[in-house]
Amino acid sequence: MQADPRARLAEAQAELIRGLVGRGCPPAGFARSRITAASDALLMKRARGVASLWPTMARALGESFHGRFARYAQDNPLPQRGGPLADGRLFARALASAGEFPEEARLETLAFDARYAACEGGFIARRRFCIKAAMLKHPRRLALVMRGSQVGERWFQFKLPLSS
Amino acid sequence: MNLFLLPNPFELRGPEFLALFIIMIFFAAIACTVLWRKIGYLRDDVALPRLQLDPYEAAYLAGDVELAVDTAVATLVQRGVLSVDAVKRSIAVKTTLPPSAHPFERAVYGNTSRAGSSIASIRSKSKREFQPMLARLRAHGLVPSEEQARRASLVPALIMMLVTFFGMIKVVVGTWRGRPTDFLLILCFISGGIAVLFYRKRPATTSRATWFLDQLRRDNAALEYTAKTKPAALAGADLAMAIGLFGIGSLEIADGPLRDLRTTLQPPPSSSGGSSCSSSSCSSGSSCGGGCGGGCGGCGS
Amino acid sequence: MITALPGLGIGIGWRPELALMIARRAGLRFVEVVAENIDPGAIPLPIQQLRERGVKVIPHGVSLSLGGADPFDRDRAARLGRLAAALDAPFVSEHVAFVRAGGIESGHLLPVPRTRDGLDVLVSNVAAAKSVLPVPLALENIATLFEWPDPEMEEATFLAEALERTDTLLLLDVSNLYANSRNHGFDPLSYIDRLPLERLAYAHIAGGVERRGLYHDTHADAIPRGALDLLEELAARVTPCGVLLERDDCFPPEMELEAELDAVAASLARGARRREVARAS
Repeated sequence: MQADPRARLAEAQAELIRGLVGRGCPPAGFARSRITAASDALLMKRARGVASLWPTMARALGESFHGRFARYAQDNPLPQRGGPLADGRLFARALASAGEFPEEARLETLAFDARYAACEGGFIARRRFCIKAAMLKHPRRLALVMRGSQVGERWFQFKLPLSS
Repeated sequence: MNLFLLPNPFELRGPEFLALFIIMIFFAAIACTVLWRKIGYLRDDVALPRLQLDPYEAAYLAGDVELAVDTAVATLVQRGVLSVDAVKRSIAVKTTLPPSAHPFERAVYGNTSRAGSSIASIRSKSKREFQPMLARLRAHGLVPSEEQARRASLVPALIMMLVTFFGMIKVVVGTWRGRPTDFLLILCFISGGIAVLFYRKRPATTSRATWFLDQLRRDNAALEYTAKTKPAALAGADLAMAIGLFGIGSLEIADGPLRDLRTTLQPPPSSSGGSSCSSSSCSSGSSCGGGCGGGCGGCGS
Repeated sequence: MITALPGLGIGIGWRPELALMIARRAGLRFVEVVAENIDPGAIPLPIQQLRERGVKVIPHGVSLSLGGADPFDRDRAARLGRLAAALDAPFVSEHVAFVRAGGIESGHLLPVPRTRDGLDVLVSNVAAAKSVLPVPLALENIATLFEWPDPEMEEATFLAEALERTDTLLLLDVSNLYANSRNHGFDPLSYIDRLPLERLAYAHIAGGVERRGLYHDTHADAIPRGALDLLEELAARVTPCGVLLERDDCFPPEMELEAELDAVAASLARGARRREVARAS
């Protein structure tokens, strides 16, 4: 227990946030039902934020979006930089490592990767020229995006022969 | 600088001349592109009257007549006059067109069958229906006349021919001296090919049109934001202007028939090399300034 | 206190979905932008155009965490200040809340404990923010579904004392007040009466919905009658320089938004009339 009032408050606030985002027990003294309601609302808001900025991915996941997002949110707190846009990218990454990422949203993640670079705590907007590519299926093709301050953002798609 | 002291380019050794020639072709091509685009060059001191462009005219200037057709189709789809089948990639007549419709919309409607037409057939049939609007655009100096366009493409073509000629002289000199000229010949073909390309491809719009289009896009900046985040909120004329100015990508997050239309209008990736995909399928997050911050009121829903 | 604040009228929170409607709204005198969404070096063209028309643009911060006990982030405050300068804003606004602690972002505005310690932390952070901001700061009350245990004072007292000690402006969100009065059972009118209303810069109003016995301030639904009534009560006591309608999601057709703005205007007018009558008598 800290002596300094500010430090004590910091601890109490940390404990509250951990309880709200599901990374700890709800702190003592708070009305349990209210904390639960607030916790649900927080998750809903976070999910809506991601769904509105990643519409293709949300649409592709359909009914399963909320369930999958809740599982992701449980283990991953909000990124410190980049807001819901970055949150969605990390969600996509989590889906991909579980083999659940919807193919239709590949272009959406490709566009994000061309515009934002990973940094400590999340993502920030790119300033320099970059080229990103991704292999897509149905039909099998290579999508390429080139982005720079002079050229703007240019997209290309090349159909690939089916591999046997 | 005494010109007579410059080395004779034709006396340069093979590899050096090749390097020089490649640089020449490169810079000539860039200069020619600039010249080709500068048709009807706008003088800064001339004040242009404000023109009212309708969405189809704007679409023509921004893309070409195909974009104008696509814009008309989208407006009619949104009004429920045409229906889209995304699976069959066909567009069909659903109800009758109201009499107050724009003449170009009427033309596009007329070229769509009840059973369903492909977008390609609607586009090719509607191209000539654009002629009256083209005449108006020409009258305002936004589209070059045949004569202007031919002249505009002639000059770059001639420049590239001169460059080719320059190379051919060295080919002759080299052959006469018994030197290998294969590379040089290939470069001459390339240079000549570029010349032909410039001559055959006529510029469709003038630099005055570019200026107007930029102005129109600036004036409609708010429309772009709403189109890219809530296209359902747009009335017919606004939707048409959004597509005309900002492209089919304006329908990025549309739902329902407009989304089916977007899928139908975008060409499937071509089998022969690259096809440029103008829309990104990511939402407007980037125009939002890099992701929304947390905590803006609104607790769940 | 409120010497040179402009008459702002009824405004709307600027959102990309509403950009066209806002651009076409004649007679609009102010909008508010979420500060974290706007890059001070790359202000969206529609907002620049509003500025050129003479519309005031107020940056509204959501991530300064003024009530947070973590070390105060001067960089965030500086960014808010840069945005205020770039927009030539008359003032900026932020919340009596915290959004991060222990290295975790909550993603939402959380209440500050209503204790002496909580108040001291808030006052200290606000002083630090003011030292960095080039324009005055207005503090907004938030809606919360839960409360900290063992509060030492009421919300109105806490807010009033915070405003006096920090010498800041007040952004009174009547919808948040409505939400809290419903969810925590207190009288919103005595709350208003305890506030230093001479510090009122502008007011917020927004919609919400009741779910399982709790009122949620969603900014995605219609404005409840109760909030409009509170706005009328506020207008009966003081003339707010401006009232801002906040809508963040589930955007309704333009006509519906217009109707809401009309309802806001009607509440303000009724309140103003009552004030006139009270002054005459």
